[in-house]
Amino acid sequence: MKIFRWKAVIPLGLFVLLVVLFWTLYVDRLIRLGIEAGGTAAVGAKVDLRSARLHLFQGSLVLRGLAVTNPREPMTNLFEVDELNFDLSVRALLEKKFVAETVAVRGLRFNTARTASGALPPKKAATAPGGGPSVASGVDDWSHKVKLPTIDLGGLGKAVNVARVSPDSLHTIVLARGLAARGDSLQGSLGRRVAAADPRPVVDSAGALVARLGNANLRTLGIAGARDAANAIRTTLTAVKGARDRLTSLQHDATAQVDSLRQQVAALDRARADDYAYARRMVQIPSLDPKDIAAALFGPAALQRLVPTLLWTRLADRHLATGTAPQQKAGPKRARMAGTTFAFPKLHRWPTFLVEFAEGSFDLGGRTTMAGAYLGRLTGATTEPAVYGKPLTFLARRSGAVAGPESIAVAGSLDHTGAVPRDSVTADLAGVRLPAVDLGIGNARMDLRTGTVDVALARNGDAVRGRWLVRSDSVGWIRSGDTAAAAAAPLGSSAWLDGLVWRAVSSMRNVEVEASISGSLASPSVDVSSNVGGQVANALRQAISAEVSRVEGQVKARVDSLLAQQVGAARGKLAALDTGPLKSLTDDQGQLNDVEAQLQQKLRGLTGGLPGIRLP
Amino acid sequence: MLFLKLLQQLVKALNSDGTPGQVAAGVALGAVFGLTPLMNLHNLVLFGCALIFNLSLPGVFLGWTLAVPLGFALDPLFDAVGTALLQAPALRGLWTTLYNVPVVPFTNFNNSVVLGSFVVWVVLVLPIFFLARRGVAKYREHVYERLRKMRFFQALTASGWYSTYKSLTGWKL
Repeated sequence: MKIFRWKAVIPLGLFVLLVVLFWTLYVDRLIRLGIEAGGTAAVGAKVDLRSARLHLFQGSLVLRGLAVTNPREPMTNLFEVDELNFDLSVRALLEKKFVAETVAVRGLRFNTARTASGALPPKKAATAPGGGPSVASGVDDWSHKVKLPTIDLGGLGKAVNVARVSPDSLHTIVLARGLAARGDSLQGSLGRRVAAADPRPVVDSAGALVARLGNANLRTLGIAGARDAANAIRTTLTAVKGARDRLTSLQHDATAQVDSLRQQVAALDRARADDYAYARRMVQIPSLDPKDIAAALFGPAALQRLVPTLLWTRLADRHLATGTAPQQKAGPKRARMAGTTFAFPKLHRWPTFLVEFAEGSFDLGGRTTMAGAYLGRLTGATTEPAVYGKPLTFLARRSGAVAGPESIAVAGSLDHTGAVPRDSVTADLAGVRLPAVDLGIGNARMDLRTGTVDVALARNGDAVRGRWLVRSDSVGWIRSGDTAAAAAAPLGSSAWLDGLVWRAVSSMRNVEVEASISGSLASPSVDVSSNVGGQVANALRQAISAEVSRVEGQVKARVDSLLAQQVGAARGKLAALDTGPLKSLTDDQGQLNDVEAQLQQKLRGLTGGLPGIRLP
Repeated sequence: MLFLKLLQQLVKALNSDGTPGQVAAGVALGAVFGLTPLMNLHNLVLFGCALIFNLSLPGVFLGWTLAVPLGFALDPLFDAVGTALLQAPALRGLWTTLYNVPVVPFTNFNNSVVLGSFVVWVVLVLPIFFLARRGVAKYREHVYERLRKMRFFQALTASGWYSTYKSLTGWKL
């Protein structure tokens, strides 16, 4: 019997030919669909590609008409590229990896308008590829939760309803209750341990021995009697020492626990300050703190500028693998079960996706601050930075502004090569035309005209720190609406506030606004400061400080009355610990010390006080 | 209709002029196309083997047809086996090497269902072969002579599709 079926060679050849034909006809289409599907899943909004052309033997891939929708503005593209020319590693392709040694970018434009919405259907948009909430919605949630102060003077000149401050809403009460309960529990447990370590039997036994020996000495007891007495004293001394060691250990433990409670009780004062602030908000007393006023004036604008930076940092986090451990993801969609697909990256080999070097020119359209022509460069963009071993770096510099002597430089580095990711981005814009900002009150609009903008963001692991600083020394002010009404408006009314803010700021020419974020990447805190805030705060203080002090006094009294019982109870528990178990421990230690001294004295008496003599 | 095709497949495989060993080898090899997800490089290679090696093609198609529902039903098992193998610390070096070798990643061995089903097929290939060989031999010895006299059987083998196939492959009853 023949092993090989030679007549099948022709059908097999035909089959291989069919496969090659299919590849030739459809590979470009498959690449296009793959990029669109993968990009859409990664960004959370539609990614469109007009055409893809792969020249396998030359190792080149040309993508034309790539448009990536901004997930936050579906009618706008994050960016659009006319042509991307990849110089690919064919050997990496054989390993099912995409490694572009160089990429030439032509016709890159940002924030271009779309003809059709790039939003995904709600079902797809609701979840990210990994099944968790999408990055954009996570950042949105955070920005909505950020509490920005408001300037509301509605309560001025009116009776203050301090009853609105409910005891349940005061954090100090919750803390104080917890501390009182902890004090109770600590007193119980320490009381039991102190009782268990009671040294009274040892003290009594030692006292009895001392009394029994009275004035006895070597002469009255004889050598044998003195020896027995000395042995009895030594045994008792050992018992005293053991009891004292136990008490010392217990005392250290008890002191540490009581000190911890003491610190928490001390922290009640800080909580009380927070509750004052909360209560002020409840009865709508305006804050005269320049920082609060700056946050009320510029907070929304600052958030709007900080959100994209956070969004990109979190996107990088989601799509850049850390370490070289095997990674898992859901398998491909098919009629059969998808299963799990594992990746086994190896150090010093190619990662699954890598762009080693990309360079190109791009334009930012319109007449905004950033509009103009740019030169950009990017190195080491990869999905597995630890495998590649080098950080991603990027640099963009304006080569030609739309108008004026303007300079813009943006640079950054995303270092995810180690266990702790470290990212940094800086942007310096000098002499740029800055946009106008609505203050939100005073019908005032601040035209920053020409100025500088510094943006810096540094991220180390889960900690993030960032700053957005705008400076201008040629600010103009524009007022809209009814300006005459302000003069006759009653104290605290909206029109009155508008007039006051306008008088305070309209003569300012130098303005500086700084917004900063710090804290955890998941939920950083936002801080806004500005000299405009200081100016408005001063004006408000002059106008309404007496009224604010009166209302503040009422609110503080209300908060103090609500807190008095619980805070008093917590402090009482602490005092009870000081005068209870801790004092008992100190007293017991004192008794043991006394009785030990007496025993030592008796022992010396038995030896006649002669040094060097030791009874057998 | 599908049932009829399956029946035709069965009849052709069992009655082709291949030896029971050739038919059994075809069934054993064909099972891989039904047990493992089809669109993978290893299946392309094995399909080439099925054509080149002188084993029963009707047997291949029969094995394939019979294994498809089995493959769907056993996917959770394949997934568990594949996941266990891919996560085994002792095998991590092997997977890492294979993952970084040209061409091998196109087999999708790093997918739990693909690896699990392939390994199960490798384990079952010899039992399938021996069972099928014994079954075909018994069938030809005891059942075939009685079956060929039945009208239904004659009608089935006389269908147009079967005649075309027979003329192309040269197999006969």
